[in-house]
Amino acid sequence: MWDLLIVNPFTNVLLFIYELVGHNFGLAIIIFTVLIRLLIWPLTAQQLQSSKALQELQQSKEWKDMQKKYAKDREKLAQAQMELYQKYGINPLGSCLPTLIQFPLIIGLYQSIIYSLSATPYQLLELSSRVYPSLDVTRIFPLNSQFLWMDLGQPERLQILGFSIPVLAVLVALTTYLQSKLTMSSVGSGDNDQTAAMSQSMALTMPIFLGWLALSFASGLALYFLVSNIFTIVQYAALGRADFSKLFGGARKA
Amino acid sequence: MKKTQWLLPMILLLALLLGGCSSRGQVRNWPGLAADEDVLYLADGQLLALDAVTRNPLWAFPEEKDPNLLIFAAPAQTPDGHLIVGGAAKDNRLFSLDAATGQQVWAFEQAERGWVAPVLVLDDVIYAPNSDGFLYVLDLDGNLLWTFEAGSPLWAQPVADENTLYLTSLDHRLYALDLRSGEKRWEAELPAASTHAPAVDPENGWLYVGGLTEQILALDAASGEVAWQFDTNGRVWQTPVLRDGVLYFGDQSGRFYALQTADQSLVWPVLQPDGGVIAAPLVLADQVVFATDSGQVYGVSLQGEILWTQTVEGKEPAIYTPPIVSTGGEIVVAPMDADAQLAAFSPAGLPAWTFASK
Repeated sequence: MWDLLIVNPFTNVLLFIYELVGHNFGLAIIIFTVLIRLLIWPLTAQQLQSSKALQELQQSKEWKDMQKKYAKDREKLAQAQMELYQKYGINPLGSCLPTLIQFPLIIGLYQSIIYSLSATPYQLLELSSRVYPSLDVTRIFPLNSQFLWMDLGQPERLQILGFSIPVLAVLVALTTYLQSKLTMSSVGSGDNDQTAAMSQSMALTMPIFLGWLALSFASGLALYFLVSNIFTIVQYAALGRADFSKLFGGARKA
Repeated sequence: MKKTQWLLPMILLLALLLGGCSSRGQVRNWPGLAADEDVLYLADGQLLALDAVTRNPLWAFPEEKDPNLLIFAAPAQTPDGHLIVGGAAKDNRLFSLDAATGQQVWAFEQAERGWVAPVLVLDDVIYAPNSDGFLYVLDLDGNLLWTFEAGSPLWAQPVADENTLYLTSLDHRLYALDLRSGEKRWEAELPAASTHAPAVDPENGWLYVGGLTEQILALDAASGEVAWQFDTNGRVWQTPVLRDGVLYFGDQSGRFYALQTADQSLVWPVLQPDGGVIAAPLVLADQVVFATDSGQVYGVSLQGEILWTQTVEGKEPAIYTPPIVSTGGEIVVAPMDADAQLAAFSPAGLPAWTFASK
């Protein structure tokens, strides 16, 4: 079912774009990523709304009073928080949906890249059974896995003066950090110290985690992360939600 | 609940899922199978040497299974008693092993990708095609003599006649090289990528090759010119087997062919029992053995009568590896996703034995 709904369509779309752009798999991944991001654009916009509403609620007197009142009773605090969410029509998970949706996309794309860049006859045989009849695998195969200095089926390293530098992994980590800093909720004092600490911690954890993925897995996946990060930064900037002042100082108070 | 509280478990989940997926992304291929008088060799990720009579394991290389060192190509024997095999995964060294003990003698480390095809050993020269698109030619001590660069991965074992080496590449080409110097004599454009070697016909000087298109081509071995072509019903994934002027092969649609090279007529009409044919058939004195991707093994008379059928046991067994004959005269197949790694049948098609490593 997973293959039928995710991996096979992804593989075919990738191969279709690959043929369309003159047998350039890197370009195919970039276009595919942009398409995916455009598809989930409404969800990202909804995420922005949810996080904005959540942020406003967390800055309100009502929220702060509640925090004080139930400071020593976590159970009651959680219950009161839920009541407030209901009262203002906020879905606390709404801001997580676009992130959640990314997971199957990342896994599906990773598998599609590996299938497309078959490394053995058996994998090619598998690929040929996944390709829709409208695509002619005899014309497409073998795929050109080279893109710039990268082999998209292998973890990326750039040879500079005899050293192997994981340029893409560094770029992924850097753009993930930039994205986290630019889009982080503007909370961070008083009652929300714990949240702020966690946000700060995530702003460091995510770049390390995605950087590690980019370092360890096929560079086609790292390319997806990089393009996806750049797209998100541009999208937030276009929606007026990117706070560039956070890059050079502390979080701006809302 | 804050978004950040969800993120940590989510990234851990993603790490787990991707970790799980990486095994799906792991290099996988059908096993390599070879035999000499005393030993059966099975390359199913790990190279196993089994006593040909008792099937007792003699040694394994690497000694323990290693996801970074996966061997799928059948080993080739050298005149000095060594076996040449290469790793298809992260560890892509080409090894020379002591055939008696499985101990490493030397390793060639210059290739950048995996070794998918068996190497060809002719006298004291090793012709080793690699997925990085290079043919590496080595002496028996592992010293590089010369290389030839094709435009794409090399997945097929080279073949040779007296003076020329023939090499198919995934770049839709068949190359003819001088056997000693590596100088290119000609290259022929094929309609699609070919994953297997051509069959050499020394009698009339033709080469026969299939590929991811639905045809068999006959090319002039001296010039690479196409002499004739035969349209098949499906893709041809294997080297056709030539015997007495007849080419035996199967296609992915499941048809068995016996094609007379002289006039391209078929010895028998359509024979398509069940399952696609990826593996080259085994041609014996009085029958041709076809194995299919549905786990069936067929003994077919040279006139096209199905003599016997056997099914390999397993959940979704498939046979992609060409069957071989063991010392005892049994027909041995190496299925994938089956209960056993090896299954053997008598020439009359009766089950003889199976082997599964612990």
